[in-house]
Amino acid sequence: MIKTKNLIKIFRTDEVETTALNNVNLEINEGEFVAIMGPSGCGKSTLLNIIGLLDNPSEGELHFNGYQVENYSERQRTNLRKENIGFVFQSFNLIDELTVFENVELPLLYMKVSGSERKRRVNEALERMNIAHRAKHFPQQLSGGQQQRVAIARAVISNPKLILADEPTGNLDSANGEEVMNLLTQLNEEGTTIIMVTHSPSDADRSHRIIQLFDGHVVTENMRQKL
Amino acid sequence: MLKNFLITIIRNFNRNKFYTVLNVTGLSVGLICAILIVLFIQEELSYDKYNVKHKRIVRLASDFTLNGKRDRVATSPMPFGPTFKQEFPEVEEFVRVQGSGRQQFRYGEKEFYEERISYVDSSVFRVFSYKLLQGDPDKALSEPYSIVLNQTLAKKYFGDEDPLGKVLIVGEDRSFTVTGVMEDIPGNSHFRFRGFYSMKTLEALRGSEEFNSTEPITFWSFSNYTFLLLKENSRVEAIKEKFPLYYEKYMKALGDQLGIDYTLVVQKLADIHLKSDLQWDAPTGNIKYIFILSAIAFFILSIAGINYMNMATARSTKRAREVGVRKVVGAHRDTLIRQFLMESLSLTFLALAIAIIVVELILPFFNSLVDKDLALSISETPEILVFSVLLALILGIVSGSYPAFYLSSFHPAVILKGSTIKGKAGGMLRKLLVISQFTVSAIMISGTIIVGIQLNYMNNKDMGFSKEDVLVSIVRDSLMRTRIEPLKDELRKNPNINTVATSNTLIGFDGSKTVHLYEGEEGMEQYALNFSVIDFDYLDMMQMKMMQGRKFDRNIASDTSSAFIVNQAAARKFNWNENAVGKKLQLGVELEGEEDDDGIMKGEVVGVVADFHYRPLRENIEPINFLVSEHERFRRVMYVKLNQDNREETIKYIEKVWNEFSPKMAFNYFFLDERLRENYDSEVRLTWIFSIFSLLSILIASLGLFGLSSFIAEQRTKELGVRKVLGASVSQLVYLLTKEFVKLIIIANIIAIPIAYWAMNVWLNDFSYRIQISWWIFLLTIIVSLAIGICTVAWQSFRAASADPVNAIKYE
Ligand SMILES: Nc1ncnc2c1ncn2[C@@H]1O[C@H](COP(=O)(O)OP(=O)(O)O)[C@@H](O)[C@H]1O
Ligand SMILES: [Mg+2]
Repeated sequence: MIKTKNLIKIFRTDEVETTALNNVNLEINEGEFVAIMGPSGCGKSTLLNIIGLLDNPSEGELHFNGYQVENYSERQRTNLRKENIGFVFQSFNLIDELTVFENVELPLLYMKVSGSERKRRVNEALERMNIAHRAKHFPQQLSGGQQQRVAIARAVISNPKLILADEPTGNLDSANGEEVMNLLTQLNEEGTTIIMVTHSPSDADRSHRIIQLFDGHVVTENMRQKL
Repeated sequence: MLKNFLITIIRNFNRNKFYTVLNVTGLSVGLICAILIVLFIQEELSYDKYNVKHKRIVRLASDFTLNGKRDRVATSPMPFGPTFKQEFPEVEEFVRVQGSGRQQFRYGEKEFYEERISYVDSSVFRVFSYKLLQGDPDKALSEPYSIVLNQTLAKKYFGDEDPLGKVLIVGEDRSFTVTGVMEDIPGNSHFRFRGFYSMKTLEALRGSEEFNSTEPITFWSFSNYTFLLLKENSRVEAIKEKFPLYYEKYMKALGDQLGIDYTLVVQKLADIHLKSDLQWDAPTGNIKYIFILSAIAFFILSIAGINYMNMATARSTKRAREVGVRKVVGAHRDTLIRQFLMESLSLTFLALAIAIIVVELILPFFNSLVDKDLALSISETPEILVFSVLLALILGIVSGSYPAFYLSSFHPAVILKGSTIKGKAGGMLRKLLVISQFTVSAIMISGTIIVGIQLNYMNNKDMGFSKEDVLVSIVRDSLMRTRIEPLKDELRKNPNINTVATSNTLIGFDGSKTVHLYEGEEGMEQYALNFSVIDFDYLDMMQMKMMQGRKFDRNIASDTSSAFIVNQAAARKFNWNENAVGKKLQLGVELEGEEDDDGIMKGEVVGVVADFHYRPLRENIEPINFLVSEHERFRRVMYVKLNQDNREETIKYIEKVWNEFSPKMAFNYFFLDERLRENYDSEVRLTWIFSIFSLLSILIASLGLFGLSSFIAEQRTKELGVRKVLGASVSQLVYLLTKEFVKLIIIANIIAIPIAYWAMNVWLNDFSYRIQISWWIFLLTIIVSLAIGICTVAWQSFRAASADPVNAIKYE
C-alpha cells in the first residue's frame, strides 16, 4: 500500500539545515498495523506527515496505492487524503468552536456527502466510539480520553483505508490510553491499515511490526506475527 | 457546508466578543461616515437635475474685460432673452430672472420681510419643472402684478383660505394678486425661489418701450439672469459658435467704443451648482469639496478595513489550529478562503445594518450641520442603499482577503505539531497598517486645526473698519429715506447710540462698479472702479483711518458735487501714491451721441482712506471710490453704532423711533459682525465636516490600536510574567509595550506632515488673506495623536503589566 524509496526530508530555516529523514525505505502493506518508535526528534512525525500527504519529501519516492505521489500538487494530495487517510493526533486537534457532532461531521462536509447521510454516519461513528451522548458538547467540556475518541471517530468517518496516529495515547492516562488502543486494534482487525507513532512499548506490542527510527534513519524493523 | 461556515463564524464571534465588538464598531463607524458622505455628494451632484428638461437648459453669463480688469458674472443683459430667441433657431424658450431683494409682504395683519422672490417670464413653468398646485401655468404670470407663491408662503399668509385671487401688498404699496401656488422648490436647486412676480410687472413699471428696448446701451447692463431652453437635438455649443455674428449685430459698436472685451459664457443648468464660480451667482457648491469628501470617505473606510485585517491576522495563531484541522480532514485552500471571506462579509454586513440605523438616527443633526435636507430611505434613495451594500461588499472582500489568504496558507504539518506559529509573518505588515491609519488621522487632525485657524483668522481679522456693535437696517420706505437726517437726530438722543450713518451698499457684501476716468500720466485714463455713496457720518462711524487729506465735510458745499475719497489701493493703482489729494477723478463717461451727462460726476480727490476689506477675505482689496450724498436714492443702508450697555432697550428705542418715521414698513435689523460671519458659512461647514470626520477617523484607528495592543499584551503575558519575576516594575513593562506604538505613531506623523502641508496650502491659496501653516500645528498634531495612541495602548498594557506573574508564567 505504501512504499518509500530513499526518502529524504530536509528542513531549512534561516540558520540551520535539519535532515529529519535520511534515505528512508519502507514498505507497508494493506491491513498492517505498524508502530514507529524512536527518540524525540528522530523524524517520526515528519515521516508520518509525509506518508499522510501533509508534507512533501525533499527527495525520494513515495508510492501510495500504486500511485507515485511525491510530486502531487496540494490539491491532488488533499483529494487523495480525504478519501483514504484518517488522522489521530496526540493533542486531539478538535476545533473548539464546533460541537462533537460537527467535528466528526467535518470530513464528510468536504466530501460533499448529503445531510441525512452525514447524520447517519456521524451518529454511527459516535455510537461506536461510545461517545454519542456527548454529541452536542464542545471539546473543552470533555475529558482527554473522550476527546481522543471523538478524534478517532472523525478519523474513521470517511472509512479511510489508512489511519495515521501520532502518539495517540501521549496525553492520556493508562485507562484511557488502553481504551484508545482497543479501538485502534479493532479498526485494524476490520481491515484498516494503521501506522502509529508511539513511545510506549506496551502500545507498540499491539502492532504487527515495529520500525525503529534513529536520527532520520530506519535502524531496525521488527516483524512480529501476532497470534 | 454553508451552515457549518455560519456556525463557525457565529461561534467565533461569540468566543471573541471583545474583538468582534471592536471590529464591528470600527466597520460601522467607517460605513456611517461613508454613507453620510455619499449622501452629501449625491445630493450635491443632483442639483437642478430634477428639471425634466435640464439637459436642454442653459444659462447665459458674461465674461468681460474692461481696462484690463476682468469680471465674470452670472448675469446677462435684459435683451438677450428675446433677441436670442429671434436670432438662434436652436432656442425654444427663454426665461429672464430678475431678483428683487428683501421685500415686505403684507396681508391683513400679517407683515413679514420675504426674500428669494424674483421677477420671471411666464415661460418659467414650461422650461423648469416647477409644479403649480393651484392656478394655470400658462396664465399665472402673464399679467402685470401677478404673484405665484410657494406652498410655505401661501400657508404663512393665507392659512386655510384659498390663496387664489387674494391681494398681497409688497413693499410700501404695490398690490399683487396671487395667481398660483407652487410646490416648494427642492433644496437641490441652485436658485431656491419661494415665489415669482410676473415679468410683466417690470414692463408695466418701466413702460413697454424702455423695457423692451434693444438700444445698444441696454446690452451693456448685466442686470438679470437669462435661461434658455434649447430645442430637442440642438447642440449647446451651437450658441457659442454662432455668437460672434450676434455680437457683431447688437453689441460690437458700443463695446468697441467702451473698450470692452466680451465673451459669452454658456452654462448647462446642471453644471451651475458645482462648476460655476461667477460673481453675482446664487451660493454654489464647490467641486473641490466633493473631491476632499470622497478622499475622506475612502480613507476612513480604509482605516476601518485595516483594523479588520490587523486584528484578523494578529489573532491568526488562535485560528491556525482550525485551519490545520480543516486541511487535514480534506479542506482545499479555496474552500478555506471562501470561509474566511464569508466571515469578513458577515461582519461588514452586520456593521452595515448598524450603520444604516445610526445614519437614520443622526441625519437630522448632520443635516443641520451641513445645512442640507438629506434623507436615507428605500423609496427615496434606493441607489444610496444599493451603493452602501456594494460598499460593504467591497469593504468585506478587500479587508477579508488578506487574512483569508494568510490564514489559509498555513501548513497543517507545521501547525498540528503543537508548536504554535509565531505571529511574526504579519508583524511588518501590521506595523505598516498602523502607520497608514495614523497617517490619515494625523492629516485629518492637522487639516481640522488649519481650517479652524483660518476661520478664526477671518472672523477676527481687523477689517479696516469697525464691525462690532453695528446694527444695520435696510431702509425701504421712500418717505423715510427723505427724512434720514431728522431720524438720525432722533436716534442720537439715546445715550447708548453713538453714531448713525447711511450708504447705498452694504459694506462687506454688495457694491457697484462703473467706468471712471482718473488723472494719469498722460491725461485722463479709464478704469472700472468700485464706488459707494456714503453720508457725512459714515467714515466716522466705521472708524476708518484717513491716510491723506480729509474726510467729507458738511460745511463744504462742493463736497456733494465734486469730492472723492479713494482707498490706498486706488491711490496705488492710479500711481498717485502719496500725492493723491487734488488728483482729478470722474465717475462715468460721456458716450458718443448721448446728450445729457446724467450719472456723471467730475471732481477731485480730497482724501485717501486706509485700505479696508469691503469684500470677504477670499478676495483682494480692490480700489474703491467714495462719494458723499444725502440724496434719498443713496440712503438704503442705515448703520447704528451702539454702546455695549442695555442693548435690548436701545433696540426697542430704535424700533420705536423707526415706527414713528415709517408706519408702513416694519423695523428690521441685523448686526454687521454676525452678517459678515455668514460670508464664511461654507468654511464653517467645512470645519464641522473636517472635525466630525477626523474625530471619527481617530476613533476607528484607536479601536484598531486598542484591539491590537490587547492582543499583543495577551500574547506576551508569559514574557511579562518572567520579566516581572526577574524584577521589572509595572511602569517599565508598560513602557516596553507602549514604546513600539509610539514609534509607529511618530513615523505616521512624519509621513503626514508634507501631505497635509501640501493639501492645506492648496486650500488656503483660495484666500487672498490667509494664515501661514506654522510648525506648531504639526507639533500639536503629534501630541494629540500620541496622547490618543498612548491612552489607548497604555490601558491594556497596564492591565497586562500589573497581572500576577505567577498566573502569567503558568499561562500556556
Ligand atoms: N517545520 C520544521 N522546520 C524545521 N525543522 C523541523 C520542522 N519539523 C521538524 N523539524 C526538525 O526535524 C527533526 C525531526 O522532527 P520530528 O519529526 O518532529 O521528530 P519526532 O516526531 O520524532 O519527535 C527535528 O530535529 C525537528 O527539530
Ligand atoms: Mg513527534
